[in-house]
Amino acid sequence: MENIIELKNLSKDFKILNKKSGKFSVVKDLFSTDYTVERAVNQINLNIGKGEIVGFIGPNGAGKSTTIKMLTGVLVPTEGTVLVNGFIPYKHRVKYVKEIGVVMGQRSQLWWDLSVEDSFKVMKEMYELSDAEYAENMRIFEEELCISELFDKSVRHLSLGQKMLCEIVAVLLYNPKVIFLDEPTIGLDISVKTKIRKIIKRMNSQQGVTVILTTHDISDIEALCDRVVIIDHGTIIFDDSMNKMKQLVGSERKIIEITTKKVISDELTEKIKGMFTKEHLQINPASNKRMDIICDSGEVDINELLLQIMEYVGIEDINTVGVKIEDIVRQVYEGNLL
Amino acid sequence: MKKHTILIIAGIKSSFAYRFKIITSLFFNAAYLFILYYIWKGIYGSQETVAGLTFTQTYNYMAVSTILSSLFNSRTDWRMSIKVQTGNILGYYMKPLPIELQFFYEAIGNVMVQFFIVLSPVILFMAFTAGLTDYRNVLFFILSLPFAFIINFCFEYIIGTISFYTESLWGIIILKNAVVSFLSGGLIPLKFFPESVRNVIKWLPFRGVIDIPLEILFGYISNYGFVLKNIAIQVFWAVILVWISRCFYKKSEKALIVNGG
Amino acid sequence: MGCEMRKSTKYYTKIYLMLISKYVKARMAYRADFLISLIGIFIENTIGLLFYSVVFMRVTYIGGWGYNELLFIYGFLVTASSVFHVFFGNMFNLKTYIVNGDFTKFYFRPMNILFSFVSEYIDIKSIFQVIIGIYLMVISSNTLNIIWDFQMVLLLILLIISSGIIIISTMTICASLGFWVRDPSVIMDFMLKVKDYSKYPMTIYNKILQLFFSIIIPLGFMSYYPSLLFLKNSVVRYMWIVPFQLIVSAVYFFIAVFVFQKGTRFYEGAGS
Repeated sequence: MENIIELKNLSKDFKILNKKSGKFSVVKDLFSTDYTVERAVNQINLNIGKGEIVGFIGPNGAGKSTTIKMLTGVLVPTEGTVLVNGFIPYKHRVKYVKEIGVVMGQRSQLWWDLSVEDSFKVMKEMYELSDAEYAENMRIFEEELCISELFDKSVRHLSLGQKMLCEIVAVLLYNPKVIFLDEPTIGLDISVKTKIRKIIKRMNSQQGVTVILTTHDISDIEALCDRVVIIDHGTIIFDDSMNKMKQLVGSERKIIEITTKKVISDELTEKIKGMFTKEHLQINPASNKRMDIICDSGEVDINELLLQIMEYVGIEDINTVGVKIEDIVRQVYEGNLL
Repeated sequence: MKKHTILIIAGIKSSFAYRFKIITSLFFNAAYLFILYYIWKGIYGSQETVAGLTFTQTYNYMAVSTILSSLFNSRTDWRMSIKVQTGNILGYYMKPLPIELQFFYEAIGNVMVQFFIVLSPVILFMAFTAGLTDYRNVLFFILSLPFAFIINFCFEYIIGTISFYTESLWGIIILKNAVVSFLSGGLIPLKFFPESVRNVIKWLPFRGVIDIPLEILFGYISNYGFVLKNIAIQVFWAVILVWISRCFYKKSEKALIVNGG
Repeated sequence: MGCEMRKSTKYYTKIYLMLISKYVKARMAYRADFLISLIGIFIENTIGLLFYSVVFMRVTYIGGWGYNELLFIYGFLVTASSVFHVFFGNMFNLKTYIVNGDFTKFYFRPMNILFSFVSEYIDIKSIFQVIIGIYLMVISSNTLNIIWDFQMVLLLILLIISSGIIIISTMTICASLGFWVRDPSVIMDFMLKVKDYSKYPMTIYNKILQLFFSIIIPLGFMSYYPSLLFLKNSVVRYMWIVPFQLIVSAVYFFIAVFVFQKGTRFYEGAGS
């Protein structure tokens, strides 16, 4: 498979001004040369093949947005090279952006005051599409989404879900080779999410569009991505298939939140710790009747666990939650799973 | 009482956050005063007095007037309009304080900082150069300022409540700014207006913002009656306008709830 | 670094015209707001005129120039201002786009970023100012017995556009400071006031200030100097102003574009 994205030793530094305090600090700041250099992205190497759907995850501030911005030509790298479909993004921006599509969750690139249809028509002119190309793509979206229902509405009056659908249509209109999706489903209900995922999957399978998806939503990743890249503190700490990640994390991993009838004793805590090998046991400090257990249920006999707790302190309420991405990332970073 | 002081302090602090803004506005105000000098010199030409005022009198008047205008300009109307458009206005409902007061304190914090940094040096400067020798002038002038501020704030607040109805306030704000600055002494000393017009303006609230404080500052202080009468006029208008603001607000509040967040 | 493939003028014109027609269509839906804005503009300009009326009840000249001449200069300024407001009105919103991070979207469009930004919001209602400005110039030039021929009108249009470009440039430079400073609105307000002061004849200043306001902050070229050509009814005598005017507008426009571009490089996008 040919590589469509190549990142070699990619780094980005930011200069943070050391702000002064005291009188006239504002004036001093204006003329100050006292900067700390912060390396947001550190020597990233990454190759993405044509037609892959890759999930980019990582905690906030990890450097993933910075990397995406370098990929889309917004930022210029401090070191290293970035190549997308043969282009250096920041170098030939005007020509380059025709090859890519960018959708940012909760933000709109359409024209606020115009109607949806007018916005699409402007996109058509902007990307110099022929009437035939435009009509063909519109036909497909009409079939898939009945997009013409939204044509007369002005963009500012759309609901979030409708807006995101229009954003995606607008971006796929000119058949980009790579699309970058930044938190596209944030705040959306499940029916819209499903529609969006369907469109992405279709573009990928039918037209070989490469997809880079940045998200905190693990269900998006599970639904769409073959490959997952985890970035933390500016470096890639995991780059492998979705399955591998599931294996490492354990698809049975969950958090069990137990509220007990009586106060939890240290004895009980120690006993439970002894029952597991590799987990974290947290007791909610707000009340000493609450225990959060993160574990692989395959590894542990849940029955035994619950019996023990019931016997000692009784169970008032129980709740199981899927593991958050931050927890997975944290686990991976702490080397617990690799 | 405590929550009120906390809000005022917060208003002051947030305007300190914009220290750059304050220092630059100091610089720019100085620039305006500089240009103002030449404009009025150009108007006076070779004439000694115009409308009974000497050049120095007119210039002093316009200088302090310009500063007061920028001082009182808290843009509350803009802020309200933006908060309504973005929906952030709802946050104000969550706080345990009437909305008018919340906006008022934000506006005050801004003004108090500017007052010390901008106005005081100018007054001091004038005290030495323009022969402002009687400290009582300055004292009563300062006394009249809060009322002037309240009157101006009410104008902004009333306009701001209109934003609960309409999408864009731009045209109305431009209109209000033009009318207020023209009739308050912000553009031209009121003595320049012909007698007949002045008699009408006398009855309008706009004078209270700029002309009355200036009359007090530059007037003959020995006439206490004059001073007190003017401040009384200010108080009168301040009270009426606050009442009108409240009415406007109550009416508009309904519109806000209807439109939903 | 950052060399962008040039798109043809035809491309940009097509898109711009398309956007204008669509904006007009969209604006029509907000008729009440539109009307109120027109009234606001009208009153604002009327007050500006009333200032002159009141002053001229007491004096005959300002800086050596009479009422009608100042009216003409004012009308010229109002018309030139509208060139700025209509086409570059979005500059007032620049700082908001930057702070919100919404500015990033302009990087993704296959065209010049400044054009993208400016065409995002076209202020149709300010066209009303053109009408007001032309009206003022017409009635004042009537009173002054200025005789217009076809060439003079063309020259007037050229100078208005050039003046508009100067206003556009100075406002763009101020707005672009928003890339480095969080809130440049104080500076923008200053520039707007300066533009307003340009209605006064340069003769009120001393020689040094006149130089300053010709070159450093091109106040004089916003309306006074170009108006001179018509006020004295001898275009030929003042013709030498024209090349200066054009050079100043070109230079300032170049500086404005340069500062804006520098700003877009500095911009790092908000958020992580």
